[in-house]
Amino acid sequence: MRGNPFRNRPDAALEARLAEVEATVIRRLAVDLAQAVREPDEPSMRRLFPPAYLDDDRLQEQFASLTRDELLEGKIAAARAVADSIDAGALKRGRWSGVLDEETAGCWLRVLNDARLVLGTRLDVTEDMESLADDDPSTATMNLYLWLGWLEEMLIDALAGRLPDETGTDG
Amino acid sequence: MIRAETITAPTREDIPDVGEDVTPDRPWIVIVWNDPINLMSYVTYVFQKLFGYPREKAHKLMMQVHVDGRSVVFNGTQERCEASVNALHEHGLWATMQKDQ
Repeated sequence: MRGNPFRNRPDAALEARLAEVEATVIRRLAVDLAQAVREPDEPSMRRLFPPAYLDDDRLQEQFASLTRDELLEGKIAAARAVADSIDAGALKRGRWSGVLDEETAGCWLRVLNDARLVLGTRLDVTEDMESLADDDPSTATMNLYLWLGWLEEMLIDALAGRLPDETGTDG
Repeated sequence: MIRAETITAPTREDIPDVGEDVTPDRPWIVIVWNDPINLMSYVTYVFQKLFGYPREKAHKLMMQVHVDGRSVVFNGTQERCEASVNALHEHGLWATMQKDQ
């Protein structure tokens, strides 16, 4: 079984090790995401920009006008940070490695998750989904979606180890 | 730009536990809805990170979302609930807010 590509370093950064092709795929997803979020009203973007108020149009309009631009810019900035961190990494014999500081690791998490939300929306995934037939045209996208899920689990596993066990409120 | 990580972590005094009586000056609640895409571990992690909830409580809320389809994860003033919803949206969670019934 493959180990976790993300390792905690003592300085709170993460060390990431991936196949070069995997790093290239993530970079591409980040660049595509930064482009796609510019059309927040597209159906596949709906999950990234949900309404805060379901039954009050006036409040929802106010909320959207206050937050929409920042939300969008934040997603673009995170996607750029991911692409930049991949560019800053080292390539050797088909392997990529890089160091993600705490903020960049957070960007990776949000970008991987946003990419899954977009792909999952396009694939129309459900919780009890049957696996696709081999000749289903969505198989490649589905495999990418599932691989992203694995990678995100690994990243969460690395990041969650750093959270304090008890941080304030009662349990 | 508001980054979720820079939103002031709520303190013990600020967050009534879910189910606690909601006082008149904090009549808003934040609801997270189930979706088939977000990972359970991710939802738990986001609750811990954004609200400072201990793992056990974050996990319990996540399971409520997963099993019941929704969970009230925060309550407070309208302004603080909007900040929470915004931070949850930054993290790709499906969050809405409304006046507590």
